[in-house]
Amino acid sequence: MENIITIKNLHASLSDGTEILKGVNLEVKPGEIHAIMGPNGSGKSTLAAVLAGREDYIVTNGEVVFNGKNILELSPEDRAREGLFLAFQYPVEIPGVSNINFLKTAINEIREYKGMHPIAAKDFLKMVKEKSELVELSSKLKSRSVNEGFSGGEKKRNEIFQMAMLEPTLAILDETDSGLDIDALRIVAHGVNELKTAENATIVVTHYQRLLDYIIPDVVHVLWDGKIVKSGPKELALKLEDKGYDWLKKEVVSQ
Amino acid sequence: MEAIESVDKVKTMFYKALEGSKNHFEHELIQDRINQAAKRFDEYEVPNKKQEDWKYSTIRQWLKKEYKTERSNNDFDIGMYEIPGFETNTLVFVNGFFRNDLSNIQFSQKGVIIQNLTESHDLFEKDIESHFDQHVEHNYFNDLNTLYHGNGLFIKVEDNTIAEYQVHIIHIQTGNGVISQPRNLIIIGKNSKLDIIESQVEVNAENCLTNQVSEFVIGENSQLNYVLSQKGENNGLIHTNRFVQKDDSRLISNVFTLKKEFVRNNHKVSIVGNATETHLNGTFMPDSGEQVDNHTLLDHQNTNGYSDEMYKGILFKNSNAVFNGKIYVARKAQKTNAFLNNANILLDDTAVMESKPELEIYADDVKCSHGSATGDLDTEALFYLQSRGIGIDAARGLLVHAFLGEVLSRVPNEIIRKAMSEQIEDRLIEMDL
Repeated sequence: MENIITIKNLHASLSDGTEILKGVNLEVKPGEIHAIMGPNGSGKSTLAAVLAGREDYIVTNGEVVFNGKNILELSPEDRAREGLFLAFQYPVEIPGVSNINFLKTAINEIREYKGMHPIAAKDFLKMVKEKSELVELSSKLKSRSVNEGFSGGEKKRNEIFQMAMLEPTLAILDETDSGLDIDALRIVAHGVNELKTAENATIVVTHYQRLLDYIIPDVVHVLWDGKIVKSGPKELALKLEDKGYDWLKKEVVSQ
Repeated sequence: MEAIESVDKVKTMFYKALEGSKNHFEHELIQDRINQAAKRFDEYEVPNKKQEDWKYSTIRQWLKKEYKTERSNNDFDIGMYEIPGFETNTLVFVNGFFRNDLSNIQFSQKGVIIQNLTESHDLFEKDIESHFDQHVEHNYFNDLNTLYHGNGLFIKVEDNTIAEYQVHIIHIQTGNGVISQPRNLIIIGKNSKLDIIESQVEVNAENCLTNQVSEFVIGENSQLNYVLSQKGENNGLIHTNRFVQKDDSRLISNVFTLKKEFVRNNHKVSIVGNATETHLNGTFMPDSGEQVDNHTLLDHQNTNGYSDEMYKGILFKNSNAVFNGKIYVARKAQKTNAFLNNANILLDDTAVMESKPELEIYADDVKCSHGSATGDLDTEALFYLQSRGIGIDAARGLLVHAFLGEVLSRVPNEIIRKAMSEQIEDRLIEMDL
């Protein structure tokens, strides 16, 4: 089976030259959920940002093949149009742009890229209704400005709502559990699980094991100082929760 | 340093053009006020960069041009300036002269008087005595207007009258090097309401300058909704509005400066009454080589006033804008709530914005705030939109629309809001946004 995404020897630095990613290798197949864990500052969010195309980082080496294309050469919007989705750790508030108008624009830009006609208003509204129910997003929030005045939980649910609307082949959830109470966490996880198919894949970037009680990963990776130093089954996450990262440190050092 | 000699030369050239059109009125009181203006005018220095009020202005190049006054009998397609889906009493001025043939005063209503300012000298002597040239500041351009003003409107809404039809005033500049000086006086009685839309446009015009002065008096418990649209290419506008608000009155002013080589707006409010409400909103989007200069004043002279001001600018490549907004709260004006906000987006490194919000407060029991922010489009928001598949141009467009949407939403009338939204839309499309 073809990989959805293949990351080979990915190196990325800040504009001041500080290297954050120091050779990341990762392969994700359709139908899989991968978790990327690691202590603060290990490069987890950088990896998510580099994949989505944030300009703050400079890729100095390596390649990322997604959908058969080297996406490092694509603009952020073209990566999204190819089916990559990043759920932000800190979703941005955009006053004056309605959530609905924003999504409609996004969907139609993606459709245009794929040579499809704009979505019919009726179909769009039907989709909005279905998908917002999935994450229990109230209709009030749908028509409000993007994330403006949303609570932390509402912002994260809105991310999953957008993910549901855009139907990506690869979703990267960047610390989606941060700042969530247990109810919101359940709702978000439920949404992610419902959206899982045999054709798409999810990368869950997280600091804590907590989210992985609800979104069960097929593989857990530990990112350490810009590299994936250990990969294993879901039990690895539990071990990390139990023992912290220090035991791993010894293991890595002794390698 | 500007040599005194050249300033004098500018002054001479500038009003040489007007000498022939010096006003002389039969009415003694009016003539007396004009004579006073003439005396003051001789003492003024020509506006220049050394004066705080004109520090950032490009007015000098407009004072150096040669002007003439000129009537035009050309026909104009007024339909293109009308607000779609809206029936108004439309009053058309061309180069400052009233054009009855182009105007359409289709609705008449008891208690609503619309006439030429000159006609009102005798018919509304008391109003003229109380208000003509009694509210605007006495300065170079206002006195120039008083001295040489051409036609203008006198609008009076009597007590207890809701003007049912909007008044749409259209000013057209046309020709080369024409100076126009319209003068208006608008008086709203007690418990009354008036809606005014003003459109300043141009047709085949070059090097034209308009120096307009209007005084508005809003009576007790009355309301004025005012919308101004300024549009054009190679010409200049000096536009002065002085609003006077009496007890419990409301003013909502929305100004849209869409495009014009030079615009100086002096929009000032004298809040003389108790418990007034004032909304001043503005949008400007200067293009390459253009300057939009907004000077506003909320002069709180009385208690319990509420004022909210928001001006937003989108500055394109090589453009220039000035915002100078002042809130003044007199010692007597306790319980004033006054808010002022100016936000600007520079779409290019070559755009220059001078923003200067000011608070001057002498009362101790007030709530006032002012803010100003100038910057690029929010890069975080842009990335967020891009990460959802929205192209960079569309993303910029969405953010600019959103930014301006906040000012648009402050236009109370839905039809006018829609019309103004379309005018902004057209401008943004022209600018590829």
